[in-house]
Amino acid sequence: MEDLIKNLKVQLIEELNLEDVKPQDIDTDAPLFGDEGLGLDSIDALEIILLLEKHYGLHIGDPKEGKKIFYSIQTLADFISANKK
Amino acid sequence: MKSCYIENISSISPQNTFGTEEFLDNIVERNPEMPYLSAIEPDYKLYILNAGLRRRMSHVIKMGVAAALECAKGSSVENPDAIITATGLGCLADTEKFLNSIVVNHEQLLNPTAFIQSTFNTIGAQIALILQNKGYNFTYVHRGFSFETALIDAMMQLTDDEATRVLVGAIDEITPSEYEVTKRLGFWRNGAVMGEGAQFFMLSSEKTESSYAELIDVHQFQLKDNEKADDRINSFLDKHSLTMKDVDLVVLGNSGDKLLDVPFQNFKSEISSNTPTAEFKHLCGEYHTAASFGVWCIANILKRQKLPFAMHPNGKVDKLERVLLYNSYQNVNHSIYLLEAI
Repeated sequence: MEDLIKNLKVQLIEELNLEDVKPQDIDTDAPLFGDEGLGLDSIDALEIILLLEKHYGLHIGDPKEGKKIFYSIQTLADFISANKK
Repeated sequence: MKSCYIENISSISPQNTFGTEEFLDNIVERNPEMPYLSAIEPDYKLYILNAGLRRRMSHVIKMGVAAALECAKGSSVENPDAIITATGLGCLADTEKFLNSIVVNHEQLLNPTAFIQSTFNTIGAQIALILQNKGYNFTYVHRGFSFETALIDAMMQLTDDEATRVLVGAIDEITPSEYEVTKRLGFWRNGAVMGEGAQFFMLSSEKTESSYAELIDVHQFQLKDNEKADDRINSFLDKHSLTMKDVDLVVLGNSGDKLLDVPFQNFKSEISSNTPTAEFKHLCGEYHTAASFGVWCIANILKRQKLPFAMHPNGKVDKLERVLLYNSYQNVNHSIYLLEAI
């Protein structure tokens, strides 16, 4: 799980071009969206959907689940480890 | 009919032209390891404050937005009535990224950011978003006539009283693949060097104490077989009841290409040796909207009453009241600009 979390942080920084952010700066439990945490927006959500499909072969079947899955790095990692084939 | 004054200017170019009081005093030579002249980029964090916006912007968008905001900031009115941008090839790096991802990912899983930012009008739109400007917003993509068309539109907005201040600018970037493709097409075989940059101008129908120059006219044309540029330039001057004798300085947009610069050689041989000439493309490189760098130079020359050594190393200039710019892109798109001191 630790490796997955570390990889996710690196991939997010790369895909979203997060300037001056290092993996260790991202709080694993902090919200990804909104004013707290990384402050991501709806275009970033699309990029994360692509990241999940490209790197982990996963897609979110129920859009209502998205809010829960995308809450933090930890919730993303939980979703990946629970669903990765 | 109202006049058209250049109230403020800004430039990001391969020279030290941004955020400095210098005017081509210390020339930056091309890095011998690079086949082209890359722009010297400022610290964009100082100009594009929103990190969320900035991180999605590619090189060309950051150049354009920073140059535009700097130009607007130094003007008497920060928010213009119209924003007009010009680009020969637009946001090329984002277009390449998007097209590459189509191929690599077999037309699936395409990143939205590169697609959104790849459109030609991205820069004009981002400037408007940051300035919260809801006015006329237009982008001209007419290859070697892009800047000229944008400028003509801006002048019409002012002279027809549709606007009192127009922010107009030109932006083009180099990408390594663009260089490779144009190299294969023979663009850089005969002496011309590829360049890039962003130049912005705040045009106003009102003259202020800080105005740089008056933009009298812009004309674009193509030459038919055996037609000489001199005839077009003389007719252009004639329209303003002028002759070459009334011009204090001619700035030439020759690229350094031995074959394509023939109209410039002809023109130089036709004009009197009493009319000094200056050049600028050895400083900014050749690109679709490089004429904007020439206009930026002339605005500075007229305001400062100083002709930099780098543009005119071989002679003196008696006065600098009226300057003519003759530009050509690939000997296809020709243009003439006339500017006067305030």
